[in-house]
Amino acid sequence: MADIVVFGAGATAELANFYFSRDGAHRVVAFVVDAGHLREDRFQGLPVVAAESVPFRFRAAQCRGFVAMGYGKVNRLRAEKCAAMRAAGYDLVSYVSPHAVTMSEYPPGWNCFILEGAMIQPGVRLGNDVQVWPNSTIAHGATIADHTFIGSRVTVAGNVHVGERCFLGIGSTIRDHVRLGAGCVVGAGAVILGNTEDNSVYTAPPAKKHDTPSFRLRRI
Amino acid sequence: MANLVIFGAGALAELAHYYFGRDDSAHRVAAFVVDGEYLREDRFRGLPVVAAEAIPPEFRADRCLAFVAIGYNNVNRLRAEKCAAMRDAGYTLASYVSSRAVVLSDRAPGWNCLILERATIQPRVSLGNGVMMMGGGSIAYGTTIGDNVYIGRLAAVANDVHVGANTFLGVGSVVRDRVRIGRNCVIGAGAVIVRDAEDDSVYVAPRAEKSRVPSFRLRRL
Repeated sequence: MADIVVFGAGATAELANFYFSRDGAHRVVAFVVDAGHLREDRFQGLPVVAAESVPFRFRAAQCRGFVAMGYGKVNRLRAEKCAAMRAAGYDLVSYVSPHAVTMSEYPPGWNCFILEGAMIQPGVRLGNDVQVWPNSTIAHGATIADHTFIGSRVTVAGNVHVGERCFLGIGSTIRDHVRLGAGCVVGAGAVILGNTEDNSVYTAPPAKKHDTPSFRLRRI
Repeated sequence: MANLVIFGAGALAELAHYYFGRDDSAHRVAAFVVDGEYLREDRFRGLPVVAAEAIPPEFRADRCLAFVAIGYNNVNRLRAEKCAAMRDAGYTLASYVSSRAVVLSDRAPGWNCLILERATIQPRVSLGNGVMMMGGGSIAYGTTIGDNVYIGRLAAVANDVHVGANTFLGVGSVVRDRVRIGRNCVIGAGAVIVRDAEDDSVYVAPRAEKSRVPSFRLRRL
């Protein structure tokens, strides 16, 4: 168990504090934000400090770090802050929920966030700064490159390769042996059956609205 | 361990009987209750079935809790009505949360909820009363689920969503972040909802296409 500073003070930072505290993996001692985003000096009952002037007790010599940000700029913002924190000397920790099932012989890299119900099968390689949200499955032999965000209940089939900084939206599905390029955005519920080019965007066909209101349906 | 009567004697009642009978249940099922006109057999799953109009003293509200095990009939309003009737009769309604679900919100669940295995509920999720969550589903942080909502297996609801009362989310359906779904909606199996849905609206997923090639002609499978 280490003392950690969490970079960010938004929803992901709140969740990171929740998960790290709950499982006693690490003790969050402060939040760090860029000075331009410093609004309040407390968040979640802990100090918020500017990255440009981190007090001595929260520096890399005393603390490890975790960058708790979402997928802004297709994960580029989080990637940049990971680089900045590492340049400041912080060793970035990962969180793996005790309610996740991780069966891979390859441990995840740094700054990963693997939440409850995630299933990581044997032979899966997770890079650095990969987020896997609840109930997602990554099947055998798949490779997930750095800074990729995998939303809730995503299914990544066997031997898939997901490039860096991809966003896989909630409920999306990637079939086996597919290669996703870097920086791809796969929208909620989208199904990807073939390889994708770098920076491509895919969306699922949205559900169609029926003409009949629900109170006219006969069988429900 | 408190005794419990289950309202209903159909498929969901059978399921509720199974789950409330497990080791992670705080209750013991003592009887099934149905409306008199639906009383067909006097035993179900080895337990007495009694008419709601003439409940024997040992199964009444001063001796038992209750659980209303009715599915999504009439877009969940039948279950809502029976919950109200049982509460009027003085029953405290119990909830079952599987020990294999991961509930991380301190605002969930209310009464008469059924939260099955592998459901995940993140922090700051509010679940109303009478919510059925059929297992494997995920609800992300900051989402509010109204009363009597039915969440089918593996349904995935993203963060900061609002799902109105009585709405039905079909198996494998997906709701993206920040969407508002109205009351009494029916979201079909596998439907992907990316925009707000009005009250009483019905959404269906595009159907899978049948290939003209039979499976024995497929080269790579």
